[in-house]
Amino acid sequence: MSKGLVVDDLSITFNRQQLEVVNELTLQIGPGEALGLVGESGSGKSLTARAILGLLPTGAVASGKVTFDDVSLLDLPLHEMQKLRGARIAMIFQDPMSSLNPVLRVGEAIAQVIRSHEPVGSADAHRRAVDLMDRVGIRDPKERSRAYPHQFSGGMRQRIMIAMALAANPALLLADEPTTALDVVVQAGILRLLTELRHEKGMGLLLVSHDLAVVGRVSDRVAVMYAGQIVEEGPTSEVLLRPHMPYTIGLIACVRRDRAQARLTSIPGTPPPSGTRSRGCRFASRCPLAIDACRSTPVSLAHVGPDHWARCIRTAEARNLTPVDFASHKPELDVEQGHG
Amino acid sequence: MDEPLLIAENLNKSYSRSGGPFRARSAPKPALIDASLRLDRGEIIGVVGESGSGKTTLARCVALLDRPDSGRVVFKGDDLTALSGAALRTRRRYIQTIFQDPYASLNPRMRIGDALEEVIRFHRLVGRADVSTRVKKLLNQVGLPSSAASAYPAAFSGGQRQRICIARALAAEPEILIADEPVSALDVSIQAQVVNLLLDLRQQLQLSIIFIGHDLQLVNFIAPRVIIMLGGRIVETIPEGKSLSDAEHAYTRELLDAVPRLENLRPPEGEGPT
Repeated sequence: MSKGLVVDDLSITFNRQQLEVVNELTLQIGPGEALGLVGESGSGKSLTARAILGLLPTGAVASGKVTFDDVSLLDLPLHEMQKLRGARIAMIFQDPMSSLNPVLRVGEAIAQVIRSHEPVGSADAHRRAVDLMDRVGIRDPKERSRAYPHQFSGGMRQRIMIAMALAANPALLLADEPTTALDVVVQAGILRLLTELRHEKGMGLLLVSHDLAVVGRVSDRVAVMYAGQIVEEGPTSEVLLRPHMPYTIGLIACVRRDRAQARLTSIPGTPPPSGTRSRGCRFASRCPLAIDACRSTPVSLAHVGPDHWARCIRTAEARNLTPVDFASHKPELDVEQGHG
Repeated sequence: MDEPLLIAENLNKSYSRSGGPFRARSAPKPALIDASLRLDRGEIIGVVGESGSGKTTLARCVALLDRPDSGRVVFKGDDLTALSGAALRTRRRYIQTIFQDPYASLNPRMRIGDALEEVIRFHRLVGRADVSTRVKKLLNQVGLPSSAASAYPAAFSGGQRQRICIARALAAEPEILIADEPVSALDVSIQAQVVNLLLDLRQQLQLSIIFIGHDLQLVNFIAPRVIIMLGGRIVETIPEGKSLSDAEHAYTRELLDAVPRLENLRPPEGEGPT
């Protein structure tokens, strides 16, 4: 039975467990589902995606449990993992230029992916590569398949990366900031394409992004990460229209463009670096609502609505937060900064 | 003060692409066609378009980083396109540019203080004894501590690096700041901080800003007047006070619709897996 991806209690540490960058993270993506993982740089969202495929940088260690269709991934031997990568679970990265081989014609690059997963001849593989290029919206795919990566624009290269990722019909696609480097018109096309593929092929999607609005357009569910933890999770419309955690509320305020305001809303301060994170709520130092209780005791995810969870003890007060509260709030130094 | 600070008239620019060592040069491709703009002192003007629409070329020609093939750039009464050498260099100081990628814009082996000092000394803007005071003042102006002067770029996040790039541009004491997609590479929460900083600087220093971006609503938040570019041409100018929803050109509407908005979010109906 296909159960998709289950991540249970995933932690990622650096330096022989000295430095914990992702804590006890739990999420699920069923077939055809799309989950948006949102957070700032350094929140651990990209590492989480990489850990699923065993692509963590040297020195990083993942613990906990990650299964895909009941196969446990974290302790999978390398040769088994390599069979899974690309074939069942594919990944695309933010920078399509450094992910493509510059001296390989793009049609050949896609055909190689097909042939590495299936016993097909090179003519067949090439035909399918051209079909895939057509599918991802590249015009004159036959002719363009003979071109090299540098002859494509950024948006077209990202489409080629998606074509390569789709070459083996993966059941799950991990997309790490796939449109961040692209302009808005191209971005809209790629987001549309991802949604179509999901509905047509029942492909699961993990979309990692810093932009809540992008995630809102594509995913069924949203998980918001802050400093290595999920701080809010639920159905997209629930989280974005009825946010409960002050950090989510702040992020939403950041992307609103209200001409009546003189300034954009920002969340003053920066996330605490791993190693200086306090025992209690990690957002407390930047939160306009923080009280002593927030800082002293660990906060766990609590049920706040239908299938909706938030890591906050002041959700009742958070409902009345306004952009002005963020703007006027002076972030304090983290309580345990310097040790911990 | 009726005379605009800067007038660009009918700028044209083509780049010829060399086809590599084994191919003939291709015919020049026009990147900018008959573009004109005017900028008042203390004004922010927005330039929006997709990649390849010519918005960066327009900025480069206005700053005389690239020489337009034809047309004039008149800054405080002087036609910059008619100048060259030292005469151009002294005036170019008044038009500074910051770029999209704050990682690529800073020399990783140069301390922040040295990078700022270099600009101040090159233009001989303050006496030798006052250089380090000026560096500290610049850093504080962009919201960084004075201690940042002794650190290398690696110690800073993307948003902080963009602040440093702004400080370096301000070091030349410009009257016009060209911000070429200054926040596109930054996290949304940090984007707001950098945008607010630019708004503050405009007020404090009476700085004129040309703000380039591809998110029309964000650009219009900052700039009351916005120019829309497509294929090297200015296709629409949205005047101050006019709402984006009244935009006339179909392309402007497309740009507006392309950006996902939380405001447009509805509970997904029948969008689930089938």
